[in-house]
Amino acid sequence: MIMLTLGMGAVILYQIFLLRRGSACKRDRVVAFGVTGFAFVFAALAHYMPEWVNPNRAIDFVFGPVQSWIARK
Amino acid sequence: MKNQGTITGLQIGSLIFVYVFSTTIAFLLAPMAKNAPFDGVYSIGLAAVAGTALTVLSLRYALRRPSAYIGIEGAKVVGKAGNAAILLLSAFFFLHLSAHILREFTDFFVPTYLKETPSVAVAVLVMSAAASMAQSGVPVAFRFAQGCFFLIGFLFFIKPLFFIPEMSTPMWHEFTRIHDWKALWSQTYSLIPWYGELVLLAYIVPLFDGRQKVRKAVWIGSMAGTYILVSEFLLMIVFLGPRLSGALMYPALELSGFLHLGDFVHNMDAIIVSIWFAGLFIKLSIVFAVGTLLVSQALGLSHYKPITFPLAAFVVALSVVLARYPAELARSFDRSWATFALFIECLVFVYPIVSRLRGGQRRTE
Repeated sequence: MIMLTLGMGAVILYQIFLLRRGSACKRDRVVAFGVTGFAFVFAALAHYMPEWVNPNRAIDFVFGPVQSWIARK
Repeated sequence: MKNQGTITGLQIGSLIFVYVFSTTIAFLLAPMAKNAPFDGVYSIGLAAVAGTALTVLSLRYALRRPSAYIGIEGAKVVGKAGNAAILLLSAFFFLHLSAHILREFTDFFVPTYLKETPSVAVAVLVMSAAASMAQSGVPVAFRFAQGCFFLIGFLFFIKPLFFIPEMSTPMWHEFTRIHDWKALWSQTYSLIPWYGELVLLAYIVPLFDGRQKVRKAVWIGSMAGTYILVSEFLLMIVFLGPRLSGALMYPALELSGFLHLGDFVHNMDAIIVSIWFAGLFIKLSIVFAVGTLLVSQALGLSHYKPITFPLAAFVVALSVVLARYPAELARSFDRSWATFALFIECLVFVYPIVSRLRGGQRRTE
């Protein structure tokens, strides 16, 4: 978790530098920080509760029955 | 508005050539050898034609407006909400694919060459490099592919020549007939989306040089990559046999272990893996770059650069949670990924279909 926080800290600092260099508007800054926040929360959940954030379960649930019907082995 | 793109036809063909076989050669040949050992050649050929045709069809609509990104212009056709939904789903697919490629690489590389290193450390290193490439711009990945294309292509082109003395076997007769039509269909269906991933090109048409014959380059690159795949598959089945090829995790790597350059190099697999990694890195970078571009277009950002590294962190975290162990990853992939991928790859056709329906509606009014 410490490494994750330090890593995301470095990412945010570089992001701030890019947004300032590109003279980004307020909306772009809010959206960019929102994406970083989402990535941090996802990574934290992946560390503590990996089963909750695995999208393969949802993909299997939706597309698994369709595929087994189409490509019957 | 005039097209300002710089990606040439040779760069498109080079990238597609490397893209088509870089992950397939390492991770798909073993399951194919297990399920359809002698029919796999036909599966690869049929899937190559079908998947490339899907890609070329997707480019037809996008190339009509070579100066506009389909992800931005699409809002005028399908509405803002519809366009955002298509872009977010497609972006999720490409980022999920990046995570999958990264996970497959770490599952192969870490136990084989870096036993004491945590997989997540290798994933962070590889993804940092891929994100830096994406940060430099999509054309940079194409230029890198053009630079690597000759070395990678030359290596995999001459690899079968080292095995010519072992090629005299009656097993060749088994390739002349179909053994199991069901297995042929299921393997072809599973492989089509691997070629269909190239629909990502439809989302970056403004980056192509307007004078290039893009569709021709796609076919040539795809068929050249398929040739490498077919020759490697044939080599694997004839040299290792169908049962051993299906039982091994990485049969292409095992084949490389038999290559040597006289007394100078006893085992060429380190050289081959290093060069192969360049191809995998190209695929990872371009898939990730397009995923990032689509996220930025969906969220209405003026540029994708500020969100590149956060999304790279997301991809690393996603690659860790995809499965607890390699067999679970392979099982999940085998069960549903092909249909999920085909569904997402066909989303790009929503734009021309809705555009045509609306055009027809306006004419009747």
